[in-house]
Amino acid sequence: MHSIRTVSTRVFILSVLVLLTAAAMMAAWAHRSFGPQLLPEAEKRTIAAGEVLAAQIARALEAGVPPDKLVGVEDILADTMAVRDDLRYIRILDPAGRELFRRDAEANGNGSLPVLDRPDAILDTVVPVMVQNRPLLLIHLGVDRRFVDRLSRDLLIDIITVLVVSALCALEVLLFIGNATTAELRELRWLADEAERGRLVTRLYSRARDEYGRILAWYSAVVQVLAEGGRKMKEAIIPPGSGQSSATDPVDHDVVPDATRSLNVVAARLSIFIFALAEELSRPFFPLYVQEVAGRVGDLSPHLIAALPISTFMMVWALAQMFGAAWSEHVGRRKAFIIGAVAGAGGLAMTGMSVGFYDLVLWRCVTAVGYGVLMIAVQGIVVDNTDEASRARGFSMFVGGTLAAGICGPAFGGVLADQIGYRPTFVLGGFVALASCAVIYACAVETRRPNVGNSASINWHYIATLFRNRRFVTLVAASALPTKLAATGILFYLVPLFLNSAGADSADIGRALPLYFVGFMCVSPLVAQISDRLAMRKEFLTAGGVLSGIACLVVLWLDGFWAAALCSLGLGAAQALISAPQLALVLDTCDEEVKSFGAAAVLGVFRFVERMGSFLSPFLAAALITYGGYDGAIIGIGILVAVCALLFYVGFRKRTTDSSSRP
Amino acid sequence: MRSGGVSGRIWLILVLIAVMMAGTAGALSYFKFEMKLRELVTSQLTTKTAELHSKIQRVLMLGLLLPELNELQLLVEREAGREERTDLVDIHDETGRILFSSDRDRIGQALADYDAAAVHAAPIQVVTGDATITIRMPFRNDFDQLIGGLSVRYSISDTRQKQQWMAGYLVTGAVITIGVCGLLSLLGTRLVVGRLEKQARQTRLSLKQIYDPTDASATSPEERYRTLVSRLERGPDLIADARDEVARDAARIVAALRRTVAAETATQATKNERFPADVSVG
Repeated sequence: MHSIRTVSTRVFILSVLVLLTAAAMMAAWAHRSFGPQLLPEAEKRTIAAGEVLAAQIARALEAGVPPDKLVGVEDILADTMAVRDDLRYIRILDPAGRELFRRDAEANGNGSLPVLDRPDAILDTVVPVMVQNRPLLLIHLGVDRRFVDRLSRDLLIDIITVLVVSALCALEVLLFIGNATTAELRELRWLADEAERGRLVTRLYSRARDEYGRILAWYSAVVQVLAEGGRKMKEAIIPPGSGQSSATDPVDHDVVPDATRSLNVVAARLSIFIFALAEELSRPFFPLYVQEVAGRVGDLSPHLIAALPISTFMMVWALAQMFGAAWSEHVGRRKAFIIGAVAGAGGLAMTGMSVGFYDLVLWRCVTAVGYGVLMIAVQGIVVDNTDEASRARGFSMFVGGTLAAGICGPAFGGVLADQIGYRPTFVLGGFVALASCAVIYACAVETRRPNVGNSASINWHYIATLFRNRRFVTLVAASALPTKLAATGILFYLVPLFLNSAGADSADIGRALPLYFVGFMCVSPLVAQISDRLAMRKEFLTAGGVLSGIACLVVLWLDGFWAAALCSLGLGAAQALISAPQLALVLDTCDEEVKSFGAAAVLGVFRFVERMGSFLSPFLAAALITYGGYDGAIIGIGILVAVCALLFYVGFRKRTTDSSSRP
Repeated sequence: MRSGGVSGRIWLILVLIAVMMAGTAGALSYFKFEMKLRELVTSQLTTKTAELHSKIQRVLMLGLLLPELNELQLLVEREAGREERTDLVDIHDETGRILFSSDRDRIGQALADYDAAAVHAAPIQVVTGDATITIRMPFRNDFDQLIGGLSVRYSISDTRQKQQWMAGYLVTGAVITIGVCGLLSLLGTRLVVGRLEKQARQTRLSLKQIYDPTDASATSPEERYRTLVSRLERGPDLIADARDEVARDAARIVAALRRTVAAETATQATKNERFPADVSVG
C-alpha cells in the first residue's frame, strides 16, 4: 500500500541518498588527488629556499673561501628562517657529515610550536651546494610535519566546506522538488475529500502531464460537464428569473487546493533563496569593491565611503518593504515579485558596472528597492497561502531560505571573486537573481485568502503612539537597535575589511561570514522552543546582547581568519538568542497598540525602527575604525551592545509595573 | 519508463540534483585547488625573486645609482638563463622605464601596467597572466625612497598543465558520480513510484470508461451530461477493487459525483420530465 506520506517520505529519502552519494563520491575523488598534486609543490617551495641559500654559499666557495671559514652564514640562515615559519632548522654539513652551521627555529624566535618527539616529526629536505659540478656542502632544511599536515587538513576543510555549501543548495532545490513531485497526488486526495463533503472544484492548478495529471484533468472535465450540462438542464426546467430557486450549486469555481498553496510557499522559499544567494555573493568583498570603485569622494574618509552604500542600501531596503506591502497586494504577489526581482537583478548587474561612487550608490538603491519589494511579495505569498495554524511554519520556511542563502552566498561569492573578479561576480549575481523570477513565474499561482489583512499600512500616528510607550522605547533603544547595529556593522562591513587587512583573500572572507548564519541556525530553533516555555524573554535578550559583546572581544585574543570566524559564529549564536524572544516581547509590550492597530502594524513599525540600527552601524563602525582600527571598532561595537543589553535589563520593567510606567 | 510519467520526472529531477551537486562541488573544488596551487607557486617564485632582489638591493645600499650599475645587464641575462622557468628579467627605474633586461630589445621601453602608487602600497606585486606569473619588487635607497624595481616573469605552463589535469580529473569524477547517481535514482524510482504509477494508469483507464473527455460523439452539453450521468451509474465499480491510494481516491471521487448527481436530480420534475429512465435516484 502506497500512501501519499509514504511516497513523499520515500522520494525524500531517495533524494537525500542520491545527494549524499554524490557528495561522498566527489569528496573522495577530490581528496584523493589534491594531496598528491599539491604536496610536491609545497616541497618545491622548501627546495627553492634551499637553492637560494646554496647559490649564495656557492658564490663564496667559488671565490676560494674554505667552507669552514665562511662568514655571515648564520645571518643568511636567520634571514631565511625569519620568512619561513614552517622550518624547524637549517643545517649545513660537509660531505663527511660534519655539521658546519646550524640555525634552529627556537633560536630564531619562530619556535611557536613545541618540538614533536616523533621520528617523522620533521621532513628533511637536502639541497647540495654545487661548485664546479661537485657537491661541496649539503644544506638540510627541516620542515615541521605539522605544516604539511595542516596543508592537507586545510584542503580537507575546503572540500568539506564546498560539499556543505553544495549540499545546502541542493537541499533547497530538493525541498521544492519533494513538494512538487507529490503535488498531484495530494491534490487528488484533497479533491476526493472535498467531493465527499459535497463540494466539486472546477479550477485545477496542476499542469502535470503524467498519469496523475491526466486523472486530475479527467476530474476537471467531468465536473465541467456536470456543471455546464446540469445548469442547462436546470434552466430548461426552471427558467432564469422565474423566482424559483434551484438547489445550491455544488461546484466551487474559486477554491485553491492545499497542495497548490503548499507548492506556492515552497516555490516562494526557493525563489527568495535564489535571490538572496545572488545578493549575498558580494558580501565578502563589498566594502573592498566600494573602496576600489569609488576612489576619493570629496573629503570623506575611505571608511566612510565604504560605509555609505551599505547604509543607504539598508535604509532604502527598509523603506521599500514599508511602502511596498500595499502595492504588492494591489498588483498581485507574482507580479510584484517579478518586478522586484528584475529591478534587483538589474541593480546587481549595474553595481558591477559602476564607474564611480554616485552611480554605485544609485544602483545599490535600485537593488534595495527590488529586494525590499520582493521580500514583501514573498511574505505576502506566505500569508496568502497559509492559515493561522500554518503561518508560523510558512514564515520559518521563508526565514530558512534566507539563512541558507546567507551560508551559501558568501562562500560562493568569495571563491568567484578570487577567480573572476568583483565586477563579473556582481553581473553573475544579476543573472542568478533573474532565475528567481523563473521559479515564481513557472511554479507559483496567484492565490488570495479572503479576509486576510496582510499588509497593514504604517502611518506616523502609529509610530507616534508606539513611541509614547516607554517599554517599547527601551526595548528598541537598548536591545533592537544595538542588535542590528552589531549584526550589520560587523558582518557586512567590519569583518570583510578586518580580514582583508590581515591579508585574507575573498575566499577566506567568504568562509568566515557564513559562520554567522551557521551559529544562528544552530541556536535559533532551540531558543524558539524554550524562550516561550521559560517566559524569560527579557533575560534571553540580555544574555544575547552580552554574548554578542563577548563574541566581539575574540579579536583581543585571536588574529586573522580565526578571530573573524569565531566572532561571526559567536555573534550568530548570540543574535539567535535575541531574535524570537524579541518579537514576542514586542507584541507583549505593545498589547494595547496591537489591539488598536493590529500586530502587523506594530511589528512593521518595530522592524522599520530596528533597521535604523542597520542604517547607522556602518557610520559608527567607520568612525570607530578611525580611532581604534578594525579590531578596535569590532571591540567598540561589542562593548556598546553588551552595555546596552545590561541597561536594557535594568531599565526594562516587567509587565506588573507596566501601568506606572505608561504615560 | 515513460518520460512524461511521474517516475520519469522524479528520476530526471534526481539526476539534476546529482548534476548540480557534482557540478558545484567539482567547480568549487577546482577553484580551491587552483587557488592553493597558485599560492604555493607564487610563494616558491617569490623566494627566488627575493634572492635576486636582495643581491641588487645590497649594492644599491652602498650608494650607487641604478642606471650606473652596468654589470646588472650581465646579471639579469645570467639569471634568465639559469632556470628554465625564468622567462624575463627586467630592472626598471622609478618611472617604470626599463634600464636592464634579459631581452635587450626591451631596454628603454616602459614597463607594461606599471603603477608606482601600487608599488609603494605593496612591497611585492604578483601579476598573473595566462601562462606566466610576474613578480615585482621595489628598490629603495637609504631614505626609503623608491628608486626603481625588479620585475621577473616566470613561465607557469607546468602549473597550467597541472590545473588542466585537475580540471579533467574532476570532470571525470563528476561524470562518474552522475552516472552512479543516475543508476541509483533509476532503481530507487522504480522501487518507490514504479508500481504506484502502474496502478495510476489502470485507474485512469477505468475512469476513461466512465467518461472520455476526448470522445467527440456527444456534441451538446446536455448530451454529454446525460452520457456521463448514465455511465457514472453503470460504469465499472472502482471502489470494490481499489487497493492502492490513487484508485481509492478516484473511487471516492466517482462515488461523490454519483451522490451529487443524485442530489441534483432529486427534484421530482427533473426526475420525471427530463432525465432518462435508466438513471436511478437516491
